[in-house]
Amino acid sequence: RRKLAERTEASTQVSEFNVSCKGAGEKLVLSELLQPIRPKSALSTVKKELTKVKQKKAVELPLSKEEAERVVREAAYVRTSKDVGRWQQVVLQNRRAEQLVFPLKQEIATVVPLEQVVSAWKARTPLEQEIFGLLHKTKQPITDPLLTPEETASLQAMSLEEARQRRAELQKARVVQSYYEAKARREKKIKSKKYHRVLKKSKRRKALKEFELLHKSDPEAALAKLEELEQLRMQERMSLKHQNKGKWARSRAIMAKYDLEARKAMQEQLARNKELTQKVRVELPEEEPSDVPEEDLTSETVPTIPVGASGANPWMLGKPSGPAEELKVQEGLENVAVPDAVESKEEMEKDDDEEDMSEEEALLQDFMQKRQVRQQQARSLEEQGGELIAQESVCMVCCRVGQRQGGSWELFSAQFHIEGGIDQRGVITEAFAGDDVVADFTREKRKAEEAAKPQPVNLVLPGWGEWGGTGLKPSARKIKRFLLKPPPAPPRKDQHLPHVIMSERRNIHAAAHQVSELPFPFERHQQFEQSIRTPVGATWNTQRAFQKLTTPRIITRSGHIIKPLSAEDVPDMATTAGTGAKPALEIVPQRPEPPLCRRRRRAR
Amino acid sequence: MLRDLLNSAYLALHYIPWVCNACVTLIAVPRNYDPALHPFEVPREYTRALNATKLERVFAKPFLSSLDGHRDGVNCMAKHPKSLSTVLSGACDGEVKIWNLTKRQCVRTIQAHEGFVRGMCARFCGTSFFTVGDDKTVKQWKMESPEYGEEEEPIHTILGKTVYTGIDHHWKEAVFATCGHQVDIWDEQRTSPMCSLTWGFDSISSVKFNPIETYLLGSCASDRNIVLYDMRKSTPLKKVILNMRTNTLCWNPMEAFVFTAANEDYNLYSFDMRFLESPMMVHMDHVSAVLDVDYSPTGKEFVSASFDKSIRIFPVDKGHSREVYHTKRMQHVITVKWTSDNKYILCGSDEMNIRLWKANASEKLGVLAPREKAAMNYNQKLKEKFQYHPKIRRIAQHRHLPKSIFCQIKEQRIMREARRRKELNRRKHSKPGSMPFVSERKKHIVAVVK
Repeated sequence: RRKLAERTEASTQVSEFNVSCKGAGEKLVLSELLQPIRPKSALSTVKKELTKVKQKKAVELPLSKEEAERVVREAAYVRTSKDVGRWQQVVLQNRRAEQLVFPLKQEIATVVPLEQVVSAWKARTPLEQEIFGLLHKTKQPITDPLLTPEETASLQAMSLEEARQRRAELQKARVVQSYYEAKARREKKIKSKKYHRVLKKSKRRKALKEFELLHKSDPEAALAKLEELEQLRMQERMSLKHQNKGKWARSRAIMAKYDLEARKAMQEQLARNKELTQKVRVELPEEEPSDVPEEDLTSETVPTIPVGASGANPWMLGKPSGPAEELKVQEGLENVAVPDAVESKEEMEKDDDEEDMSEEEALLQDFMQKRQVRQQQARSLEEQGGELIAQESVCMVCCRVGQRQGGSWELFSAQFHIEGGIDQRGVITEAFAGDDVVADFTREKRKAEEAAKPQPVNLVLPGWGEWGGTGLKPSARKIKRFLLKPPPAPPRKDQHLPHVIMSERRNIHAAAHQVSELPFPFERHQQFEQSIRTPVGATWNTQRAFQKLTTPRIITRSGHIIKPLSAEDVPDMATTAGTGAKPALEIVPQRPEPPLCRRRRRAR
Repeated sequence: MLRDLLNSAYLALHYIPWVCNACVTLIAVPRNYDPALHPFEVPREYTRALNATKLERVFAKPFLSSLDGHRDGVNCMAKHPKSLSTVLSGACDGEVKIWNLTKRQCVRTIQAHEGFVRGMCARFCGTSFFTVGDDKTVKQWKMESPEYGEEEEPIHTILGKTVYTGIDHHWKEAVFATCGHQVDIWDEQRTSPMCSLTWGFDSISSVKFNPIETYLLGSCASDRNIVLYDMRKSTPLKKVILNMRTNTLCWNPMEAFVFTAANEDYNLYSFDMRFLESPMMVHMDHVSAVLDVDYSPTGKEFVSASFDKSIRIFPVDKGHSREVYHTKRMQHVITVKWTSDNKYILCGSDEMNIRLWKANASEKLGVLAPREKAAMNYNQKLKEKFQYHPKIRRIAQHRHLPKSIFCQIKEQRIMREARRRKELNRRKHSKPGSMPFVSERKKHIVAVVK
């Protein structure tokens, strides 16, 4: 065994066996420690590791216990205050609430259905049992005491949905009907003859159109309709209403000489008569419709078989009409004989057309006219405006010319400037030359004094103790007696102060009862006065309003324990608090308003 | 006919007593609301308001009864969470009494501790309660009294190393917290604390769980600070140091982040937990140290007990009290509780009595007829409407005070005025800006430690 040499001296060389620093206060360097292991290759791995270590930075000192705790505390505080801040909204809401009812979680009174109650109950006494026996026999309902089987069946017959639909339909029909009724009533009331004429015409036209359509689509039905019309026409003819024999027609005939309207009406009636009494043309298949004569008064005597005439009536079975030449001759004759009538008819048709047109286009025409008028006006205005502008420009030119010529205005202003710069006082006195401030003040003061003087109280009542009535004056004696003179006011405080007005309107006796400072929640004295002026009593408010105005701010129920607020009491908190998740509405904790610093303002 | 018979039988069986409004109120008379016919509405309402205010003062008789039976000063009280008529109290001789409020008598007496009963609290389910005492023990007791012949013994007893000065139970879980040298959080099933929360070393006088965010705790220690803790992370959160020591604090049961601290400097401070730099409101009116505070269950008011032999009721958003209760015989009030139905206040004081007060001094107890209720509401509204009028305010604010308090108030007003004047003079004679104005709320805060 080799004995290790023992070192007893301190050496300055640094090795793994001897760790020392050269001098006092010097630091040991890692490289010095590594020096001895250089030659040995076996230690190369260690060397490498040590070099690696050398490259790494030194780890910082751990925080002291106090500091570490402090960091933890701060983090915890931030988190906790955030958690607590979730209640901010709820708290504010409760603070502002008009009324709070405690306990917050109200038990909802549940209504037990009657069936349950009944099923729980049993018949005990003999009488009850007897009754129940009877009920069972007659199949009276026991579990559901409201409905018998028949009733339920009847209820099931029509489902609710169907009933509802039906009801809606009925309602709608009723509404539509009432609407049409109202419309008809309205139209009936219109007095305009023109309107009715137009209406009638349009109706006729519409009917014709419809008939044509019907003719095309369903000839059978059209035939039936035609027959019906014929029936109507026959009735009309039988009535002979349209001949000029009636009372009205005769009066019109008298008036026709002088009145154009009357004449027109008469003509219309005649035309109608003609139309009605005219022979019904027979549409023969071999005949072309253009050949058929328009009308024939004379052919009335030779009746043709009407389209819809039934064979049952022998009178209606007339002989066939005369030959075509005869007809033609007649036509010619007629053309010669009654040109006036044709003309008049044409005129009438024209009139009618015009009316139609007006019906549709009157408005348009109106608009056109108006537009034209407006345009004309605008044009004229423009012309006028142009003239005005011209005049103005002339004026301007004149002015400019004047300025150029004289230049007096500019000169004047310049002078003013110079003066102002020199003597301000003079200018001010000059400016306020008209106002006498002192006199004004004295006048004002006198007015204030007058106003403050106590006024006599007039208690004179006319008629008491003497004659009364209009124009009578109470006697002088009475006036003297009942016009109460107040005692003279105490001398004013500003009596000997000529430059001061001291108002003595404040009544100290009343002020003792008045609020001197504006109370906290109010911002303006008007608000406060308004709040005082509004009465809350039942004398001035309806019962409902009175109850509403006097509801207490906090309602508690006697004998009920009020538990602290919890997440279940607040509907929107319940979900968030239960899961511990973030609330839906992130509430930033805000500094609550300092309630101490109130703005104090004067109130009257 | 049969059916009728049956119906009548149903009716007889399931008769629901109800009173229709129309029967109670008089038959409606058509009425003309034309304002011309009812003139002088403001003066008439003013007179009514004045009368209502006067009547309120006339009927203000808040004292209901005193529960006597303790043989030493009452040191702590606890409400039963499920029963309104039960209240628990602990005295300075280690005796715990359970009271029935409807009968106004003691139901049960336990010699719980040797020395003071420092704190007590009921379990959230109301089956048991905990007490801590000067004998370094935490004891759990059953709420119902033992059977005949059974010994009066606690369910569990935990022997600690140091004195516990307060205890509070979690609002939802089987966890409670004690305070003394540190705040310990215990599981009910274990004999050692789940975790101990410390921040500095000082005796902590009270610890309270937040009723809404139940993991939050607040404590106040004798080195003038209030510390908040989070049970989830088992770390303290923040510390606020006040001018003087805080005796107790109470969380608002309706506002999760608000708590009120009862301070030795005669004031109460309402804090928003998120902004501890300055209190939301300073409530001043007491003339001696405030020893206890309890919120009304509606969270709109709180009651405070003071060393000046009075209790005061403060609205949370007002700086001054709306009511002060005192009696000739009531000494330093050590503990106070507001009952869970918002109707009554209980206070325990030095001279061994527990007193029962109405929370609303002039309230009529018992069932009110609808018309009576309507009249009451109307009067209340009128009082609110005209509360700013000087004559009405004078009457509404007038309270008879015992001579000691009255003189103290006067004296303190003079002192405050003198201080104010001095500050004013200093400011006047120093360089402008060198003496900044400090608001009343900031004045009492020394520091906030993160």
